[in-house]
Amino acid sequence: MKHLRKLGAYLFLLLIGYVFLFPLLFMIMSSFKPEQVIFADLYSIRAILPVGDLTLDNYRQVFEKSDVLLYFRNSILITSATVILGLFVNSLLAFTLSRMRWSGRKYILAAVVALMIIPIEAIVVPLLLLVSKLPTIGWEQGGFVLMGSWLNSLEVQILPFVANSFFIFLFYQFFRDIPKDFDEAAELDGATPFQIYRHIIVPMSGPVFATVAILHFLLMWNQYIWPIMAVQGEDARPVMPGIQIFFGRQTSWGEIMAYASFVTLPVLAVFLAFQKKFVSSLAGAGIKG
Amino acid sequence: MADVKLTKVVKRYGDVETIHGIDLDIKDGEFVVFVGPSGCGKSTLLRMVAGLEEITEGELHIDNECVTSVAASRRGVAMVFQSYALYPHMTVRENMGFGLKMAKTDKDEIKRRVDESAKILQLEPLLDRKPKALSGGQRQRVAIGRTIVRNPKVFLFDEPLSNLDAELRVKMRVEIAKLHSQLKNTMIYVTHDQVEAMTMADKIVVLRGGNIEQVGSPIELYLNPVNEFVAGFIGSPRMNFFECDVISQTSSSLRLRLPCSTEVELDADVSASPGMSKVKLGIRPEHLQEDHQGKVKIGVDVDVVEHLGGATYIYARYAGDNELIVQAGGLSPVRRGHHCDISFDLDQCHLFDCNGLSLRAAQPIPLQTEVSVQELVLG
Ligand SMILES: Nc1ncnc2c1ncn2[C@@H]1O[C@H](COP(=O)(O)OP(=O)(O)OP(=O)(O)O)[C@@H](O)[C@H]1O
Ligand SMILES: [Mg+2]
Repeated sequence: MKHLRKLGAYLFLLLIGYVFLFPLLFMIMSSFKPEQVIFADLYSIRAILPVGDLTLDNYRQVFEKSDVLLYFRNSILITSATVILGLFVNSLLAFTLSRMRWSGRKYILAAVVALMIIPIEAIVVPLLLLVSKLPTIGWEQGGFVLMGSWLNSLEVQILPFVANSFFIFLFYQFFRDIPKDFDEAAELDGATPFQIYRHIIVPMSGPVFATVAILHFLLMWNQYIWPIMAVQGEDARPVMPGIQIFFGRQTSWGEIMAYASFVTLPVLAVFLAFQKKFVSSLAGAGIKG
Repeated sequence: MADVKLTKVVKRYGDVETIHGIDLDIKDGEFVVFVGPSGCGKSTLLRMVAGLEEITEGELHIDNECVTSVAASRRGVAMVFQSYALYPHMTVRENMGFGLKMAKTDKDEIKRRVDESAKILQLEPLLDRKPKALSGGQRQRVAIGRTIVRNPKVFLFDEPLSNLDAELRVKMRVEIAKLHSQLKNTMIYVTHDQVEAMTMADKIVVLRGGNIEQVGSPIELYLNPVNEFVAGFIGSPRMNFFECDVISQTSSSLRLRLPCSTEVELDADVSASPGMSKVKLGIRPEHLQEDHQGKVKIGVDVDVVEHLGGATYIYARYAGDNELIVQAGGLSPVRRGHHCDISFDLDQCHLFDCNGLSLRAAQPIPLQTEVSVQELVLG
């Protein structure tokens, strides 16, 4: 009976696993197949198996037709800068919200919660207007100068996304559950609020930092609408909008799959690296040291 | 080493006043215990001394220096928390050295001082462990060690033993008392356990509802409580009270009718409160005897008998619904359901007026009240 139930559980997990893995496998396998083979295999199990004459042609085409390495570099820069700044900024605000007393604290907290429900699509147009008017600071002939607008730059893709109310709230919730005694003990030990943040709270909050890092990474890596609007040129283009190139007069699904596989790799790598902490924080384990 | 002096200290949270103007002098090197029922403001008072809670009104002096609005870390105090508050991601050594690290002490000095205090508390084998890998008692010792390292003027403890089991609590109690006699610093200790208070304190401060009820040595409080509350709070099991009618009174004596209608006469200086109709008689369980040697005898019905080996607690009813606890000898023959006679001496009775204020002490206070229970226990 017990074995039977276990067997059932595994079958169920296999099914779920298949549902989630199928698109991924299909994408990766198809990226190695010529166009006709993809379509020939479409309705059989072969669609997700590495069978037939496999080729790297699709990848060769991708590198030839697009500046995918440049996009890749841009995305890495944008994403890592945003995530690193974001971890710092969001957790610091959450720290002051959850562990310090100041007037107006409640209103800021209410604002953070309220802002969570506003989707990015609702603010892109005013935001675009704003950044198009913002000057960048450049260096010319031995002095600082104000130049042009923010459009077509990396920073236009970074700075608006550093602070995020949802991540602030995640940090806030986690910090709120850490007993106040730690802060007070550290305060008596002569630590300033920033030292309490740096030496006490941050080291105790590994799981929430990992969770926010993953979520923020995904959010940034998958940015699509904003770069399309704010970045016209090639120089600052990230990976996701880059896929447009392949939807032309004659669409090659093999190339699209190759491009998609290539840009999905970092996501898998990051997920596998952080997976353990991510899962443990979602399970609510390890909250209290 | 330092005196602590509180002058008219008040604490308000918004409109709610929880500490109502407390005056207290703590001498250099004294072990002072704040004791009182839950919510009476012990922790608040301690945290105000620590600097973790703002002092709404009044002044605080440590070492003759006004520190009312000085930051916690500059007051020269260190505190042991009820939860220990050991930083879980640091080893014992790092925990103990954290304060010095924040003060930018150099590494060798930190190491030297951590080793030194680890030695006092026998923590040396644990220095490289994380708090998670320690037992409750060990964590407790690390928490104390952490305060010693900083060599503070005043040690503060907020119910440090309440998370330990009974046996360990007794052990740590003795250890803290020893530590005090070794370091000779001023220590303020909060507890709601009156046994801890009695055994450890040089001076007990009994608090209720944000006011001081009485300050004195343990013996003083035991022998001469100023009111019914202190009388009931100090001593275990608690003092028995019953109401008596006043038949007549002169300026130096009272004639009373006990609930069982027996009439007694006892000395008391009641010239300040003429014309009382009722008073309360208080007598400690250890002063009630199941033999007949006392002068006054009363009959009781026994409800429950607890045999502790060395002593027997008899829970009984007296003249209707007056509950009574008698502490008898270890081999008391009294059984549940018995009716028996209990006796006591009148000079061991306390007397309280209708407002609960003491009308007389049970016995003349012995001259040597400075000899604390702690010294008797530890030799
Ligand atoms: N932040 C606060 N706001 C309002 N009232 C408070 C606050 N903190 C404490 N109090 C009140 O102050 C009073 C004293 O609290 P305190 O914690 O000092 O009690 P305590 O004597 O330490 O009790 P316990 O033995 O339960 O620890 C309580 O009535 C409590 O409700
Ligand atoms: Mg308390």
